[in-house]
Amino acid sequence: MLFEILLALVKVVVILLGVILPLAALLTWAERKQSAVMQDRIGANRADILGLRVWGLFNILADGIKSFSKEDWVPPFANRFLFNIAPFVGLFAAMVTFAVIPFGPPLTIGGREIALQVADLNVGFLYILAFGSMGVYSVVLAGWASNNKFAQLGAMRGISQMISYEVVLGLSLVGVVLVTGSVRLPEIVAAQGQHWFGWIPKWGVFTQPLAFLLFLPAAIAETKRVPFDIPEGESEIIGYNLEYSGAKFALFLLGEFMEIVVLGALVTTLFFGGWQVPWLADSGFVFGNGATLELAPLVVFILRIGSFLLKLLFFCWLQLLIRWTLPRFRFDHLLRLGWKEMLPLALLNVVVTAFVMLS
Amino acid sequence: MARFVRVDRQATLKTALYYPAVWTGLWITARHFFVNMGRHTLHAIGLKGGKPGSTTLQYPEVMRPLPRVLRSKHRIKVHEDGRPKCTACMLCETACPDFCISITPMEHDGSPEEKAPAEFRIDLDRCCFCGFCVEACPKDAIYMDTQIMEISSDRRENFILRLPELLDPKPLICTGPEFRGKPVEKVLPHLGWRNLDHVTPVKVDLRYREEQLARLHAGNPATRPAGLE
Repeated sequence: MLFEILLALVKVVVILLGVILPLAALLTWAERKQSAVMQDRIGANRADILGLRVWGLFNILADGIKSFSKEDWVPPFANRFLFNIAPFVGLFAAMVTFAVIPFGPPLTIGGREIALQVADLNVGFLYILAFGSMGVYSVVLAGWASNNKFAQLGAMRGISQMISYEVVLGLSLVGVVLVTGSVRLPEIVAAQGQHWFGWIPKWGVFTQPLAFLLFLPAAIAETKRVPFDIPEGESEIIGYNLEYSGAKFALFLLGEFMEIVVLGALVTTLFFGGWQVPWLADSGFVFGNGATLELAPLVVFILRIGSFLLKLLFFCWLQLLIRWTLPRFRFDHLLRLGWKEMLPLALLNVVVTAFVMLS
Repeated sequence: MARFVRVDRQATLKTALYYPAVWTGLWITARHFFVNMGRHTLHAIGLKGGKPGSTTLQYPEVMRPLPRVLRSKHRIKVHEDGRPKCTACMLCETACPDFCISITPMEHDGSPEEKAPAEFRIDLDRCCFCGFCVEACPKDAIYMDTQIMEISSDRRENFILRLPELLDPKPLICTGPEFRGKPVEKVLPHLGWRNLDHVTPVKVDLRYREEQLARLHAGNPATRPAGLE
């Protein structure tokens, strides 16, 4: 029992400090650099240590020091308690979602099988949706506790947007669950390791293309990023985090970047085979024409972990690309898209999938 | 006469489906990303050829090429024997829309004009850099061609130009002679500067630029009016 608890703790530390936090921190840098490269600029490159600039990587450090050394200001008219916990709620929701993501195949050490996943919940799928929707509390509390009209308006926009898209988010995932026949994430990943005709991997994106096309925008809407950044609208309209400054504002940003990582991990797990590499079985590569390539178990393991991280990085990159390409939706367009276009499509997808699975 | 332009905003199938239009946009930005990353990588591994990966000029080190006609900080030209060409005729002071020039004339027996400025003040805080003083000058004395545009200070008195500063011929600050190891004339066309007639590639004197800034910020006792501070 003690061993189990220790193991879970080790996993939490490794995943949190080894994957999410570094990746989220790196994304603050990547967002500035990638947008710069996309726009033929250079981007942040001035922070240096002893003249060493390393492509502006020290800007992460500089940003952190700057925001955390600022005054921790709570407006006198705000609800102090709610104002203080709001950024942590968002951060918590983003971090906790990562607990059920299997980021590698089960590892066998000394006859004991260790799942590379913090918690293998039977309801992993529901858990993701539950904690994904907890992010909305961060927005609500921040806007409400600020006791500022503009912050409240931002929060209201946030609530209506996130609640609308949550429906589509859940319904688009129902198709995946129907196809893979499980709500446990390791089983969903394992099911995606099979192939059609030995060549086409049965990834969620191939079995449920429509679900993927609906899930991605809905999930981006959940992370409140451009083109769905209406709750915040940092470029002109002001949003729920209006009264925040310094460390707490930085926490909102960190939460947002963590949501990017979590979303990348979710898309990878549910639609792109998780840690599966196409044609890679436990013994090595098995191709559709019968050709095989034997690999040592360790190599297979490293390939699979690497495949997960690579897909994760790709989807983080894709989200930044989308964020720096598309303009923001108008609010009525956003809601029309969510309720009148995406929701019927998601329902249609569920119905059609169910019929296909039945027959 | 107003002209009405009918814009057909009817959604086509491509825009109504969102995804095709979105992919078109993403394709454009992704292409920029990969092309620029490729160029940056080539530069990083030491291949200096090819276009630069960005159009950025790293400003404090490399200055954007300034056109020759740019109106910048003023100067007063001098004759060969060193006396100012200015004869204190007050035309520039009269022409100035901002009343930023004030001249105190004096008699000058040694010159053919018999008149010279005892004091010549230009308040750069007021100056709108319109160049009317240059146009008005009958003696071709005042010019705005120093190409010095970094005029900043935290003291008002540093913005008041006096005669010694106006007469002091300083080198033009312009662009650096090279940009990432290549002659600036080779690079500028890639940055959108097709016409290089107005570009003066002058070797940038960084030490001079630093001195200039330090002087502006420290406050020059010679230019500081008595009674302040």
